[in-house]
Amino acid sequence: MTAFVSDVMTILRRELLRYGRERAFLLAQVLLPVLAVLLIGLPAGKLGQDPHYASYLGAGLLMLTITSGAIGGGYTLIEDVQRGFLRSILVAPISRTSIVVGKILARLLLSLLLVITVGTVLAFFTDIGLAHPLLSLGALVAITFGFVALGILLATSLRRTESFRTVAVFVTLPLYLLSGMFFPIETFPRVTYLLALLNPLTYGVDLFRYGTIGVHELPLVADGLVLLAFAVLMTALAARAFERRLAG
Amino acid sequence: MTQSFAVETKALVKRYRSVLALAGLDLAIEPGCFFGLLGPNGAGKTTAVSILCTLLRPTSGEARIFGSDVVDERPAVRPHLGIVFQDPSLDTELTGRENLEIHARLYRLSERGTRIERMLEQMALTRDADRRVAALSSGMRRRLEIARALLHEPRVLFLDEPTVGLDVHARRSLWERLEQLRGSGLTLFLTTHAMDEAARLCDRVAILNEGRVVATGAPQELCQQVGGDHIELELDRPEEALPLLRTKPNVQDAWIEKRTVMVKVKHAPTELVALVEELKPQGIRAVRMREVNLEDAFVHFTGHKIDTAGNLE
Repeated sequence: MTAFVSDVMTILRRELLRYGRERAFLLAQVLLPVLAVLLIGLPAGKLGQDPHYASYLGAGLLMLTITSGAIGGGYTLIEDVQRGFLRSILVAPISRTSIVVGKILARLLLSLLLVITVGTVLAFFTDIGLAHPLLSLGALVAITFGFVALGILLATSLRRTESFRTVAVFVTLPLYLLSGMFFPIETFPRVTYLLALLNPLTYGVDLFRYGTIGVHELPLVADGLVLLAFAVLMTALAARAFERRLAG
Repeated sequence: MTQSFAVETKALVKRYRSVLALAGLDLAIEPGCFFGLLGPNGAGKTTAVSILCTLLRPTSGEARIFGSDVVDERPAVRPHLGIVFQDPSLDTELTGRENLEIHARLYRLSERGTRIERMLEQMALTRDADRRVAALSSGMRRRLEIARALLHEPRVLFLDEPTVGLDVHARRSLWERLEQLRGSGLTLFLTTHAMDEAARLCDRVAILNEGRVVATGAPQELCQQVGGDHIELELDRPEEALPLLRTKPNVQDAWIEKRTVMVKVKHAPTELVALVEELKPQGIRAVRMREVNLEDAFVHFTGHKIDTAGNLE
């Protein structure tokens, strides 16, 4: 057990060293949501005479940061396979589980750091805060697991590395738009509203928003159950796809 | 099986769907030996290394490292392995030192700092240790991979085509580093398609053809088994010489290679004068003699010639 923990920490250390090299990218991930809230959230709120819209959008954009980061995090695992680095880990006397757990933990830590940083900045001019911090954390964890897994699934199903970004956009953009990140799904026309209910990310956004600003539009129990099922199912599928990729 | 072999395989078979990559590989390598597995691309060299390194399951047969089975006793095998893969396997975003640091932690080594400094020095990388791997030359990257593979003091070091893609200078410098490892008790397992490399480095070699060992022994022994010398003649009209040469009883073989006539005889110094006399009408421009080398032995045992890129000609 202690060996497992120390292996996970080693993988975690490597991931964090790598993330540390991408400072410009990290800065962009902090700046973009802040600018979007300032330049879109606040004016749109004024236009629609809803003083809470900026907070609402802010919470949604934090979830966007978590989700897109997680997809990219899953992709890095397959990148390690393609660039050969993974083999050097696979021949070491450590378990495969510790590799995947280390990767997901690294992504969780980074998302948490980003959410705290961006959230703190947003707290100065919106209502974003710690309404129910444990529920926000729960949503963050479940969505990170689910979307790291989705990243792995997408990457394993593609032969060529370059196509990943394109395909990821085609898969994730509809998920983002249909998740209530930007507007309440009650305002959606009937068809898109139903589609939004089929989107697991909707429940993540809903729970996270409740956790940060205390507002939600779906039953919280439904949020919790859907997220749990999504995270578990996706992780299992990704683990299987990853094993197959390694075998063949 | 006995415990005494560093690497031992018996009737090792690996089948990928319809392709038979290894067709019953038998190897027995003594500890401390610098061993070379020779063959063209696609002969099964990398497959053999992958199985021995516990990354790939064989279809049948068995393989052991210091007595431990590479399938059933992976945890016992892995700490003994050091591997330099054919394709680069470093984290290019990290520095050389960081790569070694992560590796040292994966093997749960103590005194990591001291070990890392020692390895960096041994591979002449101390000056460049804090540069990102992406910024290093391919020769430096290879040395860094060797440093990483040796960091945990393995008992067997696998080198899968370590000099492919290196320029002449980097290649020589790598050979020198590898030669320094000889005699340290470490067993070295090199795969290569470069016969000059094998002849220079290896104590023993095995020639692999279509997934099977067709000859094994010290490079010198294999050359002796083939026997004979080569006389190479540059002629104005090489095609006329061949039919003539093939009627000579002392000529074992004759063929044309890049416009040069190659003649194989038992003992070149005694045949040379007669041969030159014979071929004068064809316009001799240059004559060379040489002993049989490992490349000739390879052709002899496999029936194939390989080009510098490792493909069958």
